[in-house]
Amino acid sequence: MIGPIMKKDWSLLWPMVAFVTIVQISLAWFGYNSGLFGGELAPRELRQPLTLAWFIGIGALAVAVVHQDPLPGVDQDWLIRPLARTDLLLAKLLFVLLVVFAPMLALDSARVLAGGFSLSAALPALLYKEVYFLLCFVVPVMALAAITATMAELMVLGAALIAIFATALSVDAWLLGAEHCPTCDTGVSWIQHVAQHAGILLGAGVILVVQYYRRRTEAARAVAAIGTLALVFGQLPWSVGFGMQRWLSPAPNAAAAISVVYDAPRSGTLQQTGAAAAGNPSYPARAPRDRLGAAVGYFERHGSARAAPVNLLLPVRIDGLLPDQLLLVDRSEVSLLLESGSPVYRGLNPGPLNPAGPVHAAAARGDDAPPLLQTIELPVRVYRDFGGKKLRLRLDYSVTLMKVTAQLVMPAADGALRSNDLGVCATHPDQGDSLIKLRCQKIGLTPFCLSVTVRDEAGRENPEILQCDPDYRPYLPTSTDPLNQFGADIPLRDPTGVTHYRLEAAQPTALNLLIKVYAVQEHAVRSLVTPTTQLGQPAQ
Amino acid sequence: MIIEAQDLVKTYGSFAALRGLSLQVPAGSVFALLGANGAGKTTLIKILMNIIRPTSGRAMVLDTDARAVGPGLLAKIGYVSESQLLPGRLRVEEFFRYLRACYAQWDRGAEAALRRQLQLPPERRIGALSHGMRMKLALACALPFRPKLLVLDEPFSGLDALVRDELVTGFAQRTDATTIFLSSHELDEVERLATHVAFIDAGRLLFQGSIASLTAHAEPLLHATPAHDRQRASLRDVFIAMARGARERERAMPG
Repeated sequence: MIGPIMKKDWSLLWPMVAFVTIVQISLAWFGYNSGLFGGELAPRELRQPLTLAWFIGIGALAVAVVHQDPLPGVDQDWLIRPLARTDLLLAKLLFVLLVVFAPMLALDSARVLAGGFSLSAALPALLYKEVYFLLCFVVPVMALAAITATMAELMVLGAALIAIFATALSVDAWLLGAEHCPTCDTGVSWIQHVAQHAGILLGAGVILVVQYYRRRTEAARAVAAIGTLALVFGQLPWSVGFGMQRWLSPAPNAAAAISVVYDAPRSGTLQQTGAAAAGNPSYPARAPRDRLGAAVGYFERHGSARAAPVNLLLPVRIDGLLPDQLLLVDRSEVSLLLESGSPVYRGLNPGPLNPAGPVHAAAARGDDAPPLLQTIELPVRVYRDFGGKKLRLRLDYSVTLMKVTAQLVMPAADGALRSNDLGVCATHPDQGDSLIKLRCQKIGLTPFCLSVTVRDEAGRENPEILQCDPDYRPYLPTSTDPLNQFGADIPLRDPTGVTHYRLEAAQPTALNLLIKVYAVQEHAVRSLVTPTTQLGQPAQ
Repeated sequence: MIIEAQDLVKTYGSFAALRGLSLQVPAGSVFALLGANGAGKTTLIKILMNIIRPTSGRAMVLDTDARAVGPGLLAKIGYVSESQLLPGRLRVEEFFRYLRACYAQWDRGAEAALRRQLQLPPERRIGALSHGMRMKLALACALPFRPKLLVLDEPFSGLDALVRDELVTGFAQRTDATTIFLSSHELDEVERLATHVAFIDAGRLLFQGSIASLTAHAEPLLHATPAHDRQRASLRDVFIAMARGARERERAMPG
């Protein structure tokens, strides 16, 4: 009976299928047309609304196909027809596979071939993308459709679930601060995401089974509401997440020589600062959070957990780093210990290590680089209670050791490069030759940490530009485009004249880019304990 | 028996839609289930079709527990309901094409005859049909697979007199051995069709039996009716007398 149900759904939904297919074709076309550097303005601007239309269109189609034979209610025609429930469910899934995912695979294959990649090499990644979007997007949407009878009902239910999610998230962030989500905005967040996706898939599976085989709508809706709350409160503890990441380290013991030590200050007390830590101008800041992230950030900062923290600066030194290595600090926790060694406070330290970004061997040693200062954020009540006392301070670091795995050279102006490490790359001077744009596209996993140095044939170099956004995930598709894009903008000269570069007078055509690709060696934990010291002079 | 219900109870919170209802429908009969609005007729039918589950009690349909009614049995049961949600965006022809694939026993000759008789427009979308035409369509879809049991839930509701007459005539002229289980509060049409009848009120069975036995059973209830009129008492009169009697007894019960 699967075939007749699919035929019936096709005769009702073919206009919607045509719309989704047009959106898919347009998106693939604009993706191909915009190339590595964005192409014309109009196609580039259209990609964002088209991507939104892609999600909405596929979601709406998945909902519509389920709603053709709705589950809630007692008057639907299908209930009195000789249809097996399994056939009905499979017909809906197969319909989406045929009208959405088959065209998607064909278009992605064409896109990969047009991008100059081998289809056989790309096929696993393409199939993985299909399975990922099916299981993590379409099946959950179909589950929500299964507990509603109409699109209007679905929108009301969706709004209710979003309200539950946002309220729970805000309350959680207000109560626990950044600890409400220990792995968020870290390289380990993929483990949390995989766990959440697995939970969503499990919940969706339960809802579909309950609805298609038992038709217990109230119970299925309760599963959806409980699942929404579980998404907020079911957080992976940092120790578990980072423990799993350590277990996955590709080169265990590579960080054996690395240590983080306290670099004693000249004064008897630690420097106190209310200002935000100064960043490394050559190291780009993290991408700004989206609106929900910004709202949650507000509650993290203004909640009961971390109201008005006091910032202290602790000088540290990192020993054992080799010249081709980098150290990323994933997280630090601070403890205050009495002279006896017993702890009086322990908590997450959201303060960064300055200068911001990964630590080079040169910076770690203090050669030609500003000293490393660890910002320590303490809740004001802790500082008030213990700031005037003699204490020892302990910092527990979770760190990641990176190593150069490939070095590639390409012309800075209109260069082209093809490699296993970076995929297909090109360079293009921009903004009146004051900037070199490096753009690459690759199938599958892309490097999250690379450095680029501009140099001339005489060997003179501009300062290295480091682009590292920790993301330790194995390959998980995140985009509608099968080709993952990445790159860097490398300044050549400052048009305002404020900053001067060694090679600012050179023509881009006379320059090369030295690209270093870094890969993870080991995830490790390190601790430092200061001698007995006084944190500061808190006002009484 | 084609249908056999024993002590069926169905409650929604504190409201009891069925209160220990028992019923037997003989094979080959036209069995009319009569009751006022909210008496529990539709609830009973939904239980028999395994659309809802009883709170307690048991029902057998075509020798199968109603809780186990599935595709195999539904292929032998035709169902028409005034509240049936037909796929409104499908055209009449597309709907027939879909149903042909659903039923192995579908008789295309019977389908063609019914469509001719009921004058169903093939290219019209179902959602654009009038209520009467939709009921005719539901009926035309419930018969071509020659069901052993035809369940009709308020089939005359909202229909004009002409359509009602066509439907009743169609059922009355049936030549096969299909058992018809019919719920209605339109008593005049039922009277022309039914061989057996059951009255329910507030979820309880007041009477069940053949039309012939009904007259004898109703005699003492019609004491207010003049003797010479009792022979001519309609189904409506009998039903009203039974319902009033049941309600008076309920009111008189302590607590």
